[in-house]
Order: sequence, then C-alpha cells, then structure tokens
Amino acid sequence: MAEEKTKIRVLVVDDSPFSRAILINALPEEEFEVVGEAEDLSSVLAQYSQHRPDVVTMDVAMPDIDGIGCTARLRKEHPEAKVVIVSSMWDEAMAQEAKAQGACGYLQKPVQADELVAALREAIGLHRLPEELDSLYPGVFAGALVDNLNRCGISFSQEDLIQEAKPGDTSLGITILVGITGEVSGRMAMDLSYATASELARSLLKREPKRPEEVHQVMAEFANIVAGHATSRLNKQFKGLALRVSPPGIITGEGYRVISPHIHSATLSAAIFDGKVVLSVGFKKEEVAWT
Amino acid sequence: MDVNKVAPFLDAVGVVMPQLGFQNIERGRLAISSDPKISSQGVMVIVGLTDQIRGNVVYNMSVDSAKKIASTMMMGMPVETFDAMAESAISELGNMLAANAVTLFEARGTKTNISPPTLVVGDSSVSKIGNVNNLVVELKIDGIPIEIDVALDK
Repeated sequence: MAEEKTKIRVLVVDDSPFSRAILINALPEEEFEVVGEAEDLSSVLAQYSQHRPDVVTMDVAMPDIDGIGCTARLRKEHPEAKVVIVSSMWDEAMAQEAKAQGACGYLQKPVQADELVAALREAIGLHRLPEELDSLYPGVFAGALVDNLNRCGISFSQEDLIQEAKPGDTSLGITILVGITGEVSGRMAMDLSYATASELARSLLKREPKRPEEVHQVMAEFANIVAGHATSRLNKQFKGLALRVSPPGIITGEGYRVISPHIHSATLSAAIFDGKVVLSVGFKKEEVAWT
Repeated sequence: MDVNKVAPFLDAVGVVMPQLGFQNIERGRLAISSDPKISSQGVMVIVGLTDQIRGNVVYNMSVDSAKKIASTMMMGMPVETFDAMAESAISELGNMLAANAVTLFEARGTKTNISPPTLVVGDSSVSKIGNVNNLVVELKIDGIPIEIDVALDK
C-alpha cells in the first residue's frame, strides 16, 4: 500500500507581518503548508475554525490578548489544538504558564529553521499523540470491525461489542495476525472458531466456502480490511503516524495460545452467528507511554 | 526467491546470538518452498514486515529449544517450564533478531519495518495468503535446533 504523504498544515499567529514572513520562510514547502495567518484573538479563532490546522505557531505579544491567553481560549474551543509558542520573550515562569495552558512547545525568537521544524513535528507527531492514540485506537478498530460486519450483511452495532477485561490467550481455532508498523508499532489479532469463520465466510462470499483454506483466506482478507481501515483512519487523525499493516498471518491449530508480552492490548468481542469474533489490538508499551 | 535478498535475517543471528551468550552457530538445511504453511515446532515468534520487504518472519522452535535459549538469555537461570518470564525472553529474542535484520537491510539500502513480536505456543501452523515465497533455514545454536521461516510477498 503506498503511503499517502500529507503536508503538515500550519496556522501562523503573529501581529507583525515581518515576523510571520520569517516563520513562513523557515518552513520547508515540501513538508509544511501554511494554511492561514492571524494577528489577534478573533482572527485566530476564525482561521482555526476555517482551516483546522495541524499546528499553530503563536506569538506572545499581541494587541488584544497575549499569546498564552490566546492559546487558552483557542484550546477551550478546540481542545485538540496544538500550539507552539514563538516569542522574543522567555522566562521560566512564562514557559510554565504556556505549558499549563496547553502549549506543546516554546521557542524563543530569533528561531532557527531546524529548531522550528523540529518543534512543529514534535507538537503533532510525538508530544501529544501517543496518549491520545492510547485512548482512541480501541474505538477506531471497533468501528472498523462493526462497519465491515455490517457491510457483509451482518447487522451489528458498536454497543453490542463486549469489552474483555483481559484477553483470553487460548485461541478459538483460527487467529489472523496483522502486524502494524509506523511511529508506534503494534498488532491486531482476530480470533474465532472454524464454525464461526465458515458462517462469516459464507456471508462474505454469498455462497458456501469450498474448502477450509478458502475460509482461512477470506478471514485473512477480512481482518486485513479491518486493520487497513482502522489504521488509515488513525493516520488521517494523527499526521506523521504513518501506520502500515503487514500481510496477515493465518494461524490455525488446536488449543494454541497467542501471546504478546510487550504489548498493551484492548480486547473486544462481537457475538455473531452462534459464536464470537474476538479482536485484540495493541501497541508496544514503551512507545505508547512516550509523552 | 533470491537467498541473498533475505540474507540479513540469517546474518542477524550471527550478530545477535553471541551478544546473548551463545557461541556456535551451525547452518543446516536451507530450502525454498512455495508451500504457504509453516508448521509450528511448539513455539513460534512471528514478526510482521512492511515497506520494501512485506511478509512475516517466523522464528520456530520446540518448547525444549525455547526453554534452553531462554535459560541462556537469563544468565543460565534454570527454566523448568515455559512460563511468562521465558515467553518474554523468547519474544524479545524474536524482536532483537528481526530488528537487527532491519538494520542490516538498511545498510544495503532496503527499507523495511517490523511489528512487535507475537508468540504462538502449542499445536499450530501459520500461513499467508497470495503468492508466497517461503525460505526455511534450519540452524543449530550451541547445539539447540531453531528454524527461521521467511515468508514474503512475491
């Protein structure tokens, strides 16, 4: 699957056109797109609503409000806003206050281009992402599972999913394993019995599956689509995440256990036909803990 | 399948195992098969690969081999049963071997990324869909048999 390369969209806030020009010129065009410029609180709020930038650079000294107050107001309306303060003034107290109001970074003017690029990348890519990702990914995968069950004619809603406290590690008979790589890495495992898999394969194929191998392959395709949809959704939500999925591995056997010692998993099960589909998704511990 | 293309998976064994306290690596049978199915010897560590090399690498060994390797990795601590500690060690082994292979691939200008390892314990097999090229290499590490299966998209 080709990776879609999207530019980091930036809103530049500074009351001085000269300072804005310096900041804009410092951002390499191949990686950044300046979607708007603002100079006071009302233009910041308007431009933010209109463009939904990935990150905002924020001056401190502005006519109607200081940049830290402006950051607080912006984040009150748009809690997802990622703001990097760029100011000629800096002291420890201001930096603390900026952080308290939700700024992701603080740079002092004059700003070096590479410093600015790194701060903006960090603001969207590293600083806040894993924490948010940690709380968001289970729902995104659950949504992808439900959508794809519905798509093949199985009516099911996200409320019908059961959250399993702890993944039962003994397989029901078939496990489709999909590796996930990117800024964070992890894996998705879809587990179900052969009987449930046959029923699901019949719904997907709209005919009787011919041999067990066909059931396995259809399950692998299904899991691959679920993982693909969920990771693309996360990639759109978090720029720079660059998740990719590895070709699915089909594990079959009897009474085997699937264990991922280095992963924090969320496990959901969906009761379908007379059995269930158990979806376990997780990311590497140390990366998710990264804040 | 060009064996040279997947050589980093084998070369990584020579880099990583000595760091874990193993000295002698003997290469046994090396075969290329189009059979998509890899049968477990008892314990499999599966690592997913993306980017320029797509597929799965499987470190496949008996429970006995896994216990012996885990014991050496844990400074000779006796491993009577294949417990959570030993599972973690073998999983980490798979991670180190695959991560080292990625570094060796990168040195050759091939970009690939790995997923975290998943351990499969018990009577099982793993297969891939689509056209598969499967390289099977048998190794003996200080006399302990272990197999590496590299299943890649054609």
